[in-house]
Amino acid sequence: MSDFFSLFGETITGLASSSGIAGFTWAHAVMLLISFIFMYLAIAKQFEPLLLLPIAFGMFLTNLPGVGMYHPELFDVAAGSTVFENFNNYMKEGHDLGLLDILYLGVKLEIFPPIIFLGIGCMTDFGPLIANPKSFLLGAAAQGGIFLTFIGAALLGFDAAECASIAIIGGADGPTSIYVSSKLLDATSSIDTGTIALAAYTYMALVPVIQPPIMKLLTTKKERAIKMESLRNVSKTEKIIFPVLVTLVVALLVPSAGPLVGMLMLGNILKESGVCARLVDTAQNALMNIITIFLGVSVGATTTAEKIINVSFLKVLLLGVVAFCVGTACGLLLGKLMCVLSKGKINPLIGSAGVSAVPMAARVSQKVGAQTDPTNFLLMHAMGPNVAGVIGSAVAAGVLITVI
Amino acid sequence: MFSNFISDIVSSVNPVGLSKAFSVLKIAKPEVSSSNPIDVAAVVVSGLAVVFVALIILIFFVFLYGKIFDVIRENKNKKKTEVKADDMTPAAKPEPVSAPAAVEPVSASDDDEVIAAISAVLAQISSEEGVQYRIKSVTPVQKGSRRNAWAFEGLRQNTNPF
Repeated sequence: MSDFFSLFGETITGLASSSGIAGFTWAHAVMLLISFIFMYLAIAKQFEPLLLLPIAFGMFLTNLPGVGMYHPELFDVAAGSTVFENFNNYMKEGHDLGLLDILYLGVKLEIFPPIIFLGIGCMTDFGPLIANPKSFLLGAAAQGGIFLTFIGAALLGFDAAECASIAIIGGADGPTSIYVSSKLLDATSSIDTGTIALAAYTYMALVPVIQPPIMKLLTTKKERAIKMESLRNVSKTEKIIFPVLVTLVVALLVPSAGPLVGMLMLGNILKESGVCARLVDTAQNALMNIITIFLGVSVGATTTAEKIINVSFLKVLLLGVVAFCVGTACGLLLGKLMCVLSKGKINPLIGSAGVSAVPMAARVSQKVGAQTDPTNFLLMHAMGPNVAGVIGSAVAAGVLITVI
Repeated sequence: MFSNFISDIVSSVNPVGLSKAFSVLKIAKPEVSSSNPIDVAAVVVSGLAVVFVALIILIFFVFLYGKIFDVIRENKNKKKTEVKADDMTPAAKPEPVSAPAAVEPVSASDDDEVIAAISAVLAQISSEEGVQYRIKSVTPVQKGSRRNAWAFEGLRQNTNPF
């Protein structure tokens, strides 16, 4: 009988010592609280819920002690080694891999963001941009937010890879931010991909709050009331040539941007060709949804306590909002310049749509324009800079990856 | 520093000739230091320059092929109009019809088809009711707008949710 009690006691003690409760610290509690806040923002406030909710839940899972779904040490790749060697050695040592370790390979090996871009390409109409190619300039100007934030991040003491990863938040493009940060950041960095993704998606959801005050501050009522001429019709052939042309130019000029732009344009040509309806349906629905879940939950898993509960995270949040504001201002200022040069034919409000965030930023341009004159319809005009911003941020990402 | 960045980007451009032409700029790959203001300035300037150059090249090509397609479209339209004109025979010309409603000079619209349609409807109503109507002016609802009322309403409904 005494054997039974001692075995029972040992079992209970063993279970208790290996339970999550035994390893629970205040840092875990804080992280779980933060994950709940992001879940609340995603569900109640609908802040980019499709990605923010999986990210928040990934954060929740990774901060439950003992669950072991994600092991950051696996992705700490030494010089001359590969992530596969890390995985191999880890398993040889008798450890089990976590589900999120395997899913995060899709991010680390740069698979998921380009596939998301494939789906985005299937859903994007480049017609307004082809009809008014000058919109490309506004898409380029808004990338000023990326490069000027690089200066801010450098002033706050981040290293070059961290600066680039923070700056890319200004591109207002989640997959691009994840792509750059997963490529540039390593285990020694004070921030991680999850930090960048959280900031990027939170601020993207806040575009309708962040942009209007800047738009109203930098434009006059007269400028906001400018009605733009209707866009010309774009033929199907033009729409089919466009993805090939963009891929050719961008991939030759900045090869590092090739995977993102290439997949975006593959999705677009599938759509515009009109002969791949099944593929388009899969790419923009089932495939994109599956990858969104994998990307979100695995990126969320990288948000461990040591990467979030520090001053760097607060700095990233601060720089993220600065990046959005500067990008918006840069687009607007070039819009104003183009307004003057075109003798009042261009409404500067469409400039702010250059910060990707499709189609949210274009909707904001439409809304602010309609507040000044309800009969002013800027949506289609703003879609040009908006989709140009997607290409622009992918090019900017390629440049940052090349030079850092 | 700036030339190093440019040479990095240029050397990654695929055509070998172009890469060789710029290889004179190629020095050892620089280690970017965020604490060095010159490095930071070089990243910012070269980054913005490359983004603008890439997108300006795209503007050029898109503008160019847009023009080419415009010319092709115009030629097609011209051919269609010529074919239509050839098909029309004198016998097909409609008999002139006298409208019971007198049409006054139009003040702000030059769209003959719209005025003809309005006159025809009024003529129909007039003949049914036995009452004469006079059109004094036809003006667009929205001055300066090219959209007709239906297009305007459609646009309003589509963009209103935003």
